[in-house]
Amino acid sequence: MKTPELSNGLNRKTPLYDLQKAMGARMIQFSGWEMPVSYDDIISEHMAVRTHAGLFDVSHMGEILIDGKHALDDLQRLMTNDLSKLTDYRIMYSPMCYENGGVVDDVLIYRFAADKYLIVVNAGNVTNDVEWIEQNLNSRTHAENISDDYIQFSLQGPSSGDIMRKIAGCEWERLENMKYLSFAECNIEGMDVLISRTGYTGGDGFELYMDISKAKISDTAQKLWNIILDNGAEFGIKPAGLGARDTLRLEAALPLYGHELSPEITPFEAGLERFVKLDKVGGFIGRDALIKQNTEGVLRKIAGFKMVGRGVPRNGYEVVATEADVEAAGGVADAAVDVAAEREISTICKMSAGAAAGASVASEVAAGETAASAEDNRDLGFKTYGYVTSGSYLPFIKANMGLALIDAKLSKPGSKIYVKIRNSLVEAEIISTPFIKKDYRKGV
Amino acid sequence: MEVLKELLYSKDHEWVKIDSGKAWIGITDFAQEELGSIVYVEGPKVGDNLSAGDELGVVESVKAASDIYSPVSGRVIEVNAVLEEKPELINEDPYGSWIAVLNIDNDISIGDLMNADEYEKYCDSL
Repeated sequence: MKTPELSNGLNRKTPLYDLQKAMGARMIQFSGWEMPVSYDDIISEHMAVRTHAGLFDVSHMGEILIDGKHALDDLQRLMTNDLSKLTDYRIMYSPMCYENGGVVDDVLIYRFAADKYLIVVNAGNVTNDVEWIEQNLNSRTHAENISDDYIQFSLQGPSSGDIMRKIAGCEWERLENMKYLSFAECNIEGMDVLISRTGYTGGDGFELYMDISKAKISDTAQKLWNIILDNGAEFGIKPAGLGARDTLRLEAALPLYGHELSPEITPFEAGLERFVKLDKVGGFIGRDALIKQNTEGVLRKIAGFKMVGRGVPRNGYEVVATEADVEAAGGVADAAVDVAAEREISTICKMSAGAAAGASVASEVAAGETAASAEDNRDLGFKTYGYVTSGSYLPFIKANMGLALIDAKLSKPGSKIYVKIRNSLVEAEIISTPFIKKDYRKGV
Repeated sequence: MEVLKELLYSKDHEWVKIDSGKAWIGITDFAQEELGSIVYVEGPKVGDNLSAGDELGVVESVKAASDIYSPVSGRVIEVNAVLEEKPELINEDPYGSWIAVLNIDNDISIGDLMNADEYEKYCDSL
């Protein structure tokens, strides 16, 4: 068998690289960085985050500081969400669009004050985002790329609060009731750390930011990392890599830029309507294109699906169906839940391994018999209706599931589709998202 | 990294046990360690005639799908159905988790396969 590609040693490294290698981490290339994909194995790290706590080094992410009298106006023009709703020390999630409605990046905006914001951006987009933002700022608004000065850790899981309480000392009073999407500037064992109640797992957690350019010599990334791991040991904390980060966010059906969002995919196609305020005073870049799309309706949508037959869906795999399936989906649509609705839809999806295996073997035999080549597919009326944007075995749910960008006609829960895995068409079913019940801290 | 003395090994990290005209095939400890948690195994079909180097099946970890190749030529007589329900057995016990059994010719050429020492040295060189 072919072994997976190993990193080539030419990428950027976070301050924790040596420590991670010493811990036995398996490294991978991600967006120009050498990052741990796992320390132990993806499944145990994923389960630790769902049942106890996990600690991620996400220092590859970018941070851009924006300040000036016109900062809010400038950011309002860049972001689709309405930042006027932000108050000091609160955070908002927003896509940032091009004129045609395609997405530049999806970001978090941390408001310090009316004239000072921190934008947290995806690792692969830092250079692009800085350029885009600078092009679209008032001349007196100042943007500074501080990504290289900042490390970022993510502490996630039901025990993350217990661990933060131990570490934060007297600061815990301020953090204890901090609700999701809030932040505070704290001091942990003499180190200045910005702590937000945010995360990318669909559960409770904290993200910690530290400026290591200004830190005292003794205040290093390693020190903060070890403080968290040492104090978290009694609660079952595990260091976790990008492998688990991806399976966790996929269980929560959170979008990943480059997969569910891109310059070719709009926030409406991605199901992010609640973060797009078309009526926002002053408008925003991309609004006209999005108004048009909203009026006409999207032609394709990101939809969640679970495998019915045996097989693991992955990014890029084609989604096919017969015209009969599409017609049947149209009928299902009237009765199904509207996944574009603003309210949170929670689905707890558990499939016992035994039941799934039994059903899936039979389905795969049936599917295998119907599909062999592209010509056969066309003869049987199979057409391509989209592709898988993200797919995986999901460890907590214990099922193979994913997200796909597909023809809107097929995107309602209950629709039958087939995922082309190597040479077979394997049956799958559209289901509502998220795949697990999200568990954010609502606050007091 | 574990290597069993009585087995033969391919450059693609498959192991093969040859006994009484049959060959049991699986993937090595090196391979399962590189792959990480295995979540899916697809073997060949009983009755398939394979030449050495032909695709034997697929092993998938959380992150990636990896093709496996038959180190020997022969006809598939048995496929390990337990691995369909419990693919993680390959991680736990790679040499005890055979993927397929082939009926092989008696004059089978095993020239391209390595013994345990050679395979160990080969892995160290990677």
